[in-house]
Amino acid sequence: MPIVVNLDVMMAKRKISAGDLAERIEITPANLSILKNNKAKAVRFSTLEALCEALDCQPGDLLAYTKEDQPE
Amino acid sequence: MSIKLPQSKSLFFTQILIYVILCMLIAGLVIIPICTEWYDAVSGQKPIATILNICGYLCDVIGFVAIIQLHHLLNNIRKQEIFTEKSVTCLRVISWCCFGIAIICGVLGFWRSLAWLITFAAGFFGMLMCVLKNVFSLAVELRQENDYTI
Repeated sequence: MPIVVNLDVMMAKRKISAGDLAERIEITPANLSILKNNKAKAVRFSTLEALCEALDCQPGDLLAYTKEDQPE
Repeated sequence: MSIKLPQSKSLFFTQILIYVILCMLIAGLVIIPICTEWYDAVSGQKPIATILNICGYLCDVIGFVAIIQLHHLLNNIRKQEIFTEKSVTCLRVISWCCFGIAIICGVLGFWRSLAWLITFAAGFFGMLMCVLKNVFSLAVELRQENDYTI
């Protein structure tokens, strides 16, 4: 998928564990793992809002677009 | 006046019907030669007992596969595992079975034109199952998308 979720980078910057973040934004650790591992097919605005609030960042800090044919 | 059966009851009755049909199909293994002999005598046309027997047995086996798949599908529905790949596979096999019976009866129709009626019915049912399979397949995709929406 060309949209990459940089949640792990942001979590490392803010020094917050997955469990803590999941608890703070009120989603299950399993769902957070799906999001963190780029397995999610869509993200609700409410989840994005909660993530931005918990990590004190902008949506652009969490999401990035990469062209599919572009080598990583 | 319409009678509404609760889902569990309709499932229960359908499963009973499936067991009845299964018994009929098993009994068919013994009865088919008797039926073909009787039909040959009654039809008053050139006897084709061997062809009727072959077609009968083939349809019996294919019908058996279709009924088993229908049984699996109903079990999935009972377990609330409705929109899954397993259900799509069941519907796909059922539609193939219907088309198989339609082809067999289509060939038999060259000797006994009445078989074309079964061809039409089985083909129509197969097409319906195919449409249903496509709907289920789409529902599985939507469910997966919903499951992966965080």
